[in-house]
Amino acid sequence: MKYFIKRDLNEYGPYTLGDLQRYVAQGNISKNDLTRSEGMTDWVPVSQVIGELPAPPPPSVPAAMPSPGETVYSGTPAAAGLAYGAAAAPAVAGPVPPDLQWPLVLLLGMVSCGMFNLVWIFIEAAFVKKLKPDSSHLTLIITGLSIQIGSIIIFYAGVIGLAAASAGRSSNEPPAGIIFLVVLYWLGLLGGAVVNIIGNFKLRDAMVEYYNTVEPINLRMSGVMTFFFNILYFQHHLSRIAAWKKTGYLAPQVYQG
Amino acid sequence: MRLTSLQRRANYVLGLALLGGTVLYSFPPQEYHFYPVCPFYAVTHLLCPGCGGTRALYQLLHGNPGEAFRMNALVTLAAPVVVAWFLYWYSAVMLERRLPPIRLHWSAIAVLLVVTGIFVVVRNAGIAFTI
Repeated sequence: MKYFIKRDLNEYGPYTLGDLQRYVAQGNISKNDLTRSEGMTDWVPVSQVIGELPAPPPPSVPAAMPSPGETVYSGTPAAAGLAYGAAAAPAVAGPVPPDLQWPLVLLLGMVSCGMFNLVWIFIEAAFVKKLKPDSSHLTLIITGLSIQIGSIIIFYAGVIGLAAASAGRSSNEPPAGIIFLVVLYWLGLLGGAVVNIIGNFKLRDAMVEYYNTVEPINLRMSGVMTFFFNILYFQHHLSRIAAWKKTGYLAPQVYQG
Repeated sequence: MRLTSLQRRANYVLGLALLGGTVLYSFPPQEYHFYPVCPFYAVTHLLCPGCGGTRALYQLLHGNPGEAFRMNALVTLAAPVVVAWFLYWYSAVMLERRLPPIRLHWSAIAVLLVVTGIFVVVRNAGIAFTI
C-alpha cells in the first residue's frame, strides 16, 4: 500500500510503509505530520500508521538536520529540516527558524513589560548559533544584558546600603556615594546596550553569511533596520524563511540592499 | 511511555508555569519585592501596557477578577486566552496530534496593537486603568 504525506498545504509521496518508517526514524518526517493511504480520504497523524518505532538515530548531518521535535519555538509540526526524500520536496535543507509573526512578538513584548523580548532574542540568537556555531553574537548578547542587569542590581543594592548607612543622621543632604552610583548605573546601561548592538550586528552577519553560502537564498539585511528594530527585523526574515521551509515558496525581499 | 524531546520541553514549560503560579499565589507582589520591575517604568515613570500585570495575575489566582481588571485590564482579558491556548497546545503535543500554529490574521494583530496603544494613552493620561 502507498501512503501520502501532508504538511501545511503540500502533499508528498507516494511512499511505502517502509519508506515512511525510515523517514520518521531519520527525522525527515514528524509523527505529527498527516498521512493517508491510497483509497483513504481522511488524514491521520503518521504516528497512527507506523506505530511505535525505535528511537531515531542521532542526526548524521550536524546543524543541517534537526531531530524530530526540534522546532519547539515555532508551535508548528516538527517540520524536520531535510525534505521528504530527495524527489518530492523543494530544496529546503537546514533547520527551520522559530516562526512567530513579528507584530505578535512586538505585542507580546509590549504587554509583558519587555520580558518577552528578552526571551525571544535568545530564541533567535540560539537558532542562528545553530547555523553558525563559531559566531560570537550569542556571547555578546548575553554579556550586554548581564552588564545591564548587573548595573541595575548594583544601583538598587547601593541605594539601599546608603539609605541604611545614613538612617541615623538628621542631615537632608544626599549621601556622597549616590552620584557615583548614578554614574555607574548609566554607564552600565549604555555600555551593555553597545555590547548588545554589536551582538545584534554579529547575528545579522551570521544570518547573511549562512543564507548566502550554505543555503543560498541571496539574503540581504539592512544595518539601519538591524539597529532600530533588531528582534522584530530578525523575526521578519526568520518567519519568511520558515514559511519557505514549510511551503517551498520564498516571499520576495522588500529591501534589496 | 517514551517521551519525545518536544513532549519533554512541553513538560518543562508546564512545570515552570505551575511553579511560577505557586510562587505568585503565595507571595503577593504588593508585599514582596523580588519580582522584576518594569524597565520601561523604571526609566520613564510611564505605565507600559504590561505594568500591573503581575498584580493582576495575583488577583486572578485569588479569584478577584474585578480587582485584577483594575490592575491591568489587558492582562486580565488575555490571561484566560493564553491559558486555554497553552492547554490546547500541551494536549496536542502529548497526544501527538497536529500542533496548532500561532498565526493571527494581520488585521487581528493590527486591532490588538491599536487597542494596546489606546490602553497606554488612556492609563497614562489618567483617564482610566491607572493603578
